[in-house]
Amino acid sequence: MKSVLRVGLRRGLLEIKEFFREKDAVIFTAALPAVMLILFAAIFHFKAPGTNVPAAEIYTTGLMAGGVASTSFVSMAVAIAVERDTGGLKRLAGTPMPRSAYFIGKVIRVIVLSVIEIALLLLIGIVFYHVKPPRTIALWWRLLWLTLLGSAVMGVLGVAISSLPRSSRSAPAVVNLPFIVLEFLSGIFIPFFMLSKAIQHFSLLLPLAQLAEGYRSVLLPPTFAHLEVGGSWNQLAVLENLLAWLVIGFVASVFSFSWGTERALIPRPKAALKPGPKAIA
Amino acid sequence: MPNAIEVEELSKSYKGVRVLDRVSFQIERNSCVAVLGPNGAGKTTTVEILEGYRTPDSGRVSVLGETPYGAGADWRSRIGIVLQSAGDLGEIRVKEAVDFFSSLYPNPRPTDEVIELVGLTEQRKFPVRVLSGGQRRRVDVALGIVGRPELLFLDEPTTGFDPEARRQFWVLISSLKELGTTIVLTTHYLEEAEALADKIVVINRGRVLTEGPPDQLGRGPEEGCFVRWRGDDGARVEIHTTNPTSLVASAYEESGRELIDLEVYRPSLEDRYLRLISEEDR
Repeated sequence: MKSVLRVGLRRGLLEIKEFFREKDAVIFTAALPAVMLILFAAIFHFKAPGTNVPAAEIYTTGLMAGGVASTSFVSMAVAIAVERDTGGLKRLAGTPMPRSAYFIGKVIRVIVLSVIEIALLLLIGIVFYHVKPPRTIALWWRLLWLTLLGSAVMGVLGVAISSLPRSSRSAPAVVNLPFIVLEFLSGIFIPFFMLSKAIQHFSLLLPLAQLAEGYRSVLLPPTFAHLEVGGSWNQLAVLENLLAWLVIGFVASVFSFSWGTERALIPRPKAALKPGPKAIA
Repeated sequence: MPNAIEVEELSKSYKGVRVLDRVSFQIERNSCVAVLGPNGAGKTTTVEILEGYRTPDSGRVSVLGETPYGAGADWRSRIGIVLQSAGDLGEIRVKEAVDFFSSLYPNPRPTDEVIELVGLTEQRKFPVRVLSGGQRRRVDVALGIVGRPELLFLDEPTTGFDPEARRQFWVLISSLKELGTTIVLTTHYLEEAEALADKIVVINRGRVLTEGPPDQLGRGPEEGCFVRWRGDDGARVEIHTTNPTSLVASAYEESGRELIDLEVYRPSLEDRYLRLISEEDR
């Protein structure tokens, strides 16, 4: 177990090095949610009804959730599809590396990238849009676990969906459709309280809507809470939902993941492989 | 000492098409065996079954005493695999890649030693992305041998090498063999098989067509040789014969002077291999 963690850590460091050396990818991955935030804040000037929370603050929280999802879900799915195509996965599968170490490395990667993304968006919100940093230690703590758990959940879902594209060329197209739909349903582009009640109830089954609600509870004033489903922020529901999706994503990943070889879960035909009476010495 | 690899009656179909049909062969420990065959003959499927990447439909496979598919980390740490054309590792430096892979094995070769062995010492701090095709291939080999494998699989290792790099690579493989490594090589270069292999296994249409040492492969008693020279009118004469000495003597007598550009040669491995394949396909 100790060596799995050690190898996973090394793998994570290698992944992070690799990511940060592709400077154009780093800049554009980090910039996408930031640019969207700046655009939305420039386009919309409403205030949430019954509060004096401006649109820019709402969008800051929404794009924090969206940013975690894009650095985890999208980049993970695309990166794995590329590794599968280039033979990198197959090469790893040919070594004695514990398979779980690979996923530990991926989790380390998405968490580091998500923390950086959140810090960037928070900084933009604070500097340009009068977002107030979390007021209490408890809220900072909530910000931390939301980010860690949220990126882990979106990361495993990215791993699960990475087996869907037939090649790395089609991966961005295949991954972006469900991602954009998810973002709309989760109130990232259109504030959640503006969606119909039916959509809100449905979306709260999805992890991204819950993550976005979590970020609203960290950064928006308590007066905003009456716009949520149920009229309050439900931290426990967020936690339960994310943990459930973590399990779902993990199970789906285990069942769908391919190392670029035959699917790992097809049972091997043991009867045919056992040495027969004429044992091979 | 038991063989490194035993394959018995191996069969496999994809979507109803039989790609391997009762393939059997053995590979002795501490030998180098080349698996040859046209594209689509079943070479890669065979080797991938030996590497544990694929399952056979039927038949028995034993690699270092274990069934490859589903074998554990202990078994994996005893083999090394150099796949065809891996294109990963772009931004990773040579030394970082070797370091990471060495951390996966219980008794790895020191990183600097491996990099020296494959001749990349000067490039050890370069990202793999900037290396030439042949240099990247050497990185692949470095990652395949860093764990001190008892058995090394090389899948078309020198594709894209210039002739000098290929010779250097042969020296490297020969030295690994001297260190006791068993080597399974697939290649399209017959001279490579001739230079490295103790035994050649030819696979065509999913079956083992023939096997034997490179200098014996496809040779029969009636094989004979070719005699070639340039006639008085400058046209080339080529005759297949089992009695080259008397043929040359009578040609000399007839012409009355030295035969221009005279050559007497036995069919090369490539000639014999191509004849084997084309006879089978006829």
